Formats: sequence, C-alpha cells, structure tokens
Amino acid sequence: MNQTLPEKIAALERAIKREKAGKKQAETELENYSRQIYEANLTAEEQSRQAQIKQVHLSFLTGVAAETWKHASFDDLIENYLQRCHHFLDNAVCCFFQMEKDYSRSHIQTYCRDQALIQPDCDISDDKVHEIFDHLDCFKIGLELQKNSHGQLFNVAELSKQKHSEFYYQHIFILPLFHKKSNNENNLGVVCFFYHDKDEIDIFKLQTLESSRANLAIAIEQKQADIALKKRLVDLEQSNQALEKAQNQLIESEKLASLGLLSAGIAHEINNPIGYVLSNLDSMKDYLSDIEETFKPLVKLMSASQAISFEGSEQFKQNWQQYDLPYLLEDSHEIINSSLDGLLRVKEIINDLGRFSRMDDDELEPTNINEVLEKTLKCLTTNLNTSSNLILTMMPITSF
Amino acid sequence: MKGAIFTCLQELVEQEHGILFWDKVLAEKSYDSDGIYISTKSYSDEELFSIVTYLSEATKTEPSQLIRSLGEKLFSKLLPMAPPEAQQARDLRSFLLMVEKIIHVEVLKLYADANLPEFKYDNQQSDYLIMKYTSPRKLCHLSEGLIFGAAAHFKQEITIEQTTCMHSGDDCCTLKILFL
Repeated sequence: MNQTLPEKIAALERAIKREKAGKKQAETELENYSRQIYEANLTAEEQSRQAQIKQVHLSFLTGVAAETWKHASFDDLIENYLQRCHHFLDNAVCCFFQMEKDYSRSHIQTYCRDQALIQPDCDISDDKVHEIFDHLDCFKIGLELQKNSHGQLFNVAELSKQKHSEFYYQHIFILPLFHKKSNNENNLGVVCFFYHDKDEIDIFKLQTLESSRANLAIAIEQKQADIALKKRLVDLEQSNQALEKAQNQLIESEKLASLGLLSAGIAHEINNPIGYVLSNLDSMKDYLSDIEETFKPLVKLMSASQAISFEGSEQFKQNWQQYDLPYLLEDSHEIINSSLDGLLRVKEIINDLGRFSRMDDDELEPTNINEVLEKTLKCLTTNLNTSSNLILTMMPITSF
Repeated sequence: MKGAIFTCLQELVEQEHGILFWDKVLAEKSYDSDGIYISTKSYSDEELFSIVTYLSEATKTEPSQLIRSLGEKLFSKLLPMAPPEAQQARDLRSFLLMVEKIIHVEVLKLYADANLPEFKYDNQQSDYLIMKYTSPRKLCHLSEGLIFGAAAHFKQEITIEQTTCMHSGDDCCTLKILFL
C-alpha cells in the first residue's frame, strides 16, 4: 500500500464523508422508524380501544344469550333484558310494554334504577309511560314498527300530537320484540329506550341491541309457547277430569241399565208362575167354598137332636170333632185369601219394578212423579230401618 | 442483503488491512450504495459478491474462506439482536436447533423483506448434527462461519463437513457439524 500522503488524506476524507452520509441516513432511518412506531402505537391504541368496545358489546350479547334462557317466567326474562340493556347503554332509562290493537299499553315493565338515583326527574313509571305515549302518535309508531320490524329511533317532538313537547325525553329508540297476531289478539311487544339528548345515543350500541333482538325474540316465542302449552295442559287435564266423571256416570248408568234389564227379566220370569199360582189359588178358593157348601147339609144333620146315623157316621163325627173341621175350613179360607193377597202384592211389586226400570220404553213421556216416588218407596219398604221416620210430602199433580 | 453484513465486512477489512484498503475496495467499482452502509437497510447481493471477489483477488484468499471469516465475526454482532431464548441457549446444539424455528421467525417479524436461508435438520445424533442449507444466494460458507462463531461463543470445539454443496450443483448444502 504505497500511497502518498495526499492520497491518504483524500482516502480518509472520503471515509469521513461516507461516515457522515451513513450517519445522516441512519438518522433519517431512525426518524422513519420512530414515526412508524408512533403511528403503530396510535393504531394499536385505537385497535385496543375498539377491541375493548367490542368486548363490551360481546359481553352484552353473550350475557343476554346465556341468561335469556334461564328465566322461568316471561316477566323475569324481560326484567333481565332491561337490566342488561340499562347497563350496556350507560344507564339508559328503558321500559317494556305491549302495544295493543287500539294502541293502548299493557304489561308495562320499567328499568331506570341508577338514573333515578342520579336525577329523580328522569324517573320513568308506568304512569309516565302512559303519559308519554298518550301524547304521541302511536298509530304512526305502530305502522312504522310493523312496516320495518327492526329497532327505530323516534323523535318525540315529531311524533307529538301537541305543538310543543314538554317531556324531558326527546328521543325514543323502540325495539320490537314480538308481534302476536291471532283471532283474539293483535299486539306488539316493544322495548323503549329514552334519551334526553341526541348526543347520548350510541348508534353502534343500538345496532348491537338490534343483534340481540333475534335471540331474545326466539326466547320470548319459546316462553310464550311454553305458557300456551301449560295452559293447554291445564285445559286438557280439566277435560280429562270431566271425561273421567262422564265415564263414571256412564258406568253407573250402565250398571243401572243392567240392573233394570235384570229386574225386567226376573219380573217377566216371576210373573208367569205367579199368574198360575194365583189362578190355582183362586180355583182352590172356589173349590173350598164348594166343599164347604157340600158338607153343610151333612153337618146340619149330624148336629141335629135326632141325628141320623149311617155306617161310618160315628167315625165321621169323631174325625169332625177331632180335627176341628169347622176351624180347618175357616182357616183354609184365610190362608188362601192371605196367600192371594201376598201374591197380588208380589205381582204389584214386580209390575212397579218393571215400570221403574222402564226397559220396555226408551222414549221420554210425561210421568207422574208422585206415583214414581210412591212406588219407589214401596220397593224400599223392607230396606228401611224400623227406627227411621220418613215423611213424604207431595204436591198433588192435577194436570197429569 | 442487510447492511449489517456490509458494516461487519467493513470492520473486518479495516481491522485486518486498514481504512485505506477499504477505501480502495470501494473505489474499484461504482456501487449503488456509494459505499455507505447502515445496518438496517438492504443492499444488493451483487455488491457483496463484487466486494468479496475483489478482496479475494487482492488478498489472494479463497472467497469461501473470506465469507467464512465474515460469518465468524458476524455472529458476535448478530447475537445481541437474537431473541432472549436463543441468547440463553445452554449449548451450541440447542442454539443451532433454534435457528430455523425461533431466530428466523423473529428476524422476519422485524424485517419482513429479509431473504433468509432455510435450514432442515436431519440425523440428530449425540455427536453430530446435520443442517441442510437452502438459499438462492448459496452463502453456505457464511453459515459455516456463523456456526464457528457460535461454537466459539459456547466454547465448544467443532468441525464442519459439507457432504453436498449447491456450488457443486446439489439441491442443498449439507452441513455435518461434529461435536468434538
């Protein structure tokens, strides 16, 4: 490396120049990197903020999704939703109600706990909800909600029936949850969020509310179906009880009908022998009278002072006295009469039983109820306790 | 090629041959960089190959040897920039196994435009390690130098055999590192 001094100086100068240029480039690079890092930080901060916001939105959605299905009653479900919305929308005052066919409100539920504590004037009660909506054009609101079944922001001043609105709340976001339409009802379930100032409204959060609506609507539909199902179950149980009662009555009727049939059968079977026994006894009564008449002259002769004697007359007389024939004849008459009376009573009972069972006639016909009662009591005579005292008072039936 | 390699080469040449010699190297040819290198910027590969060719002729040293020496020196420059896990590796083998899966991944996070070589590991025996090097730059000798630099850092003695080499028409360079 045989270089002259000027060459060496020139070489060193070039090296210094390169060094300086390199330093300048490095500084420029450093500045670029610093700027890039700063911008990346800004982007990261913004992304972090966005992520936190999304996290809040996601937390709201997952909370609604998870808890919506846990609640047993419809009111609890709505209460939970209002509570979550209230906190999600930075303590926004909210309420739920059903808008009926005539635009009246029912089933109002409000939630404004924290807000009411801060500013009591902001409180929303059931009466306040009625007051606000009484002054608004509910027909227009209902029409808009039915036309576009998603959440909509309404300006109170624009919807007010009066020229100047005196209400604290100037904006209402209404979220339709369900629309029940059947023969008996036509109502719209809505959740309302009240705002005093438009600046309080976070449109992105309202969009998230809109997203939560589908899940909630399904849960409400399911809950309403459950309620309808339970009601139907109760109705079915009642119908079942009525059917069981009717069935028991039918069984009783069947039993009575069978009993009637049996009675009629037995009556028919008994009537025949009773007929000929009565006939025989009647004949026997006549025969006994004839026998008595036949013996009368003989008895007269035997008991006269100048009795006639004939062969065997002594024996006849002895038998007559020994067996006390006059008594036998007299008692036979009584026995036959008593038997005839008994049989006639049996016949009468059988006839009454037949009439009571009514097996011979299914058609409805005028009946003398007094007669039925009397005959029934006659059937029951033997069953009645001797100590029992039955008092029967019947109005005379004149037009029968 | 990252400027760090050029600055390291400059340092190596200046240490061994002086500032004037480096000035002479740069004066031999016109380069896009005008001989001004900063470690974070990228420069043409051709520029490095051109400088090495000149150095080889001027110092009558094989380019492969020059590149190997550059790699050995470069290791101490690159190590502080390596991920903490790699810096705290317990021995050379552990460190080398981290090159592909940890160090290169982290380098790409910092320099998305870096054209890094690809290493595949094979036949990991207790006494040697095979690293298969693939890169269109064919700087297998730089890798060898870096491995020697790492061995010096971990105070381990090694030898490296190249069983295949892209300079000989092979698909990859096979570096068999024998732990002595």
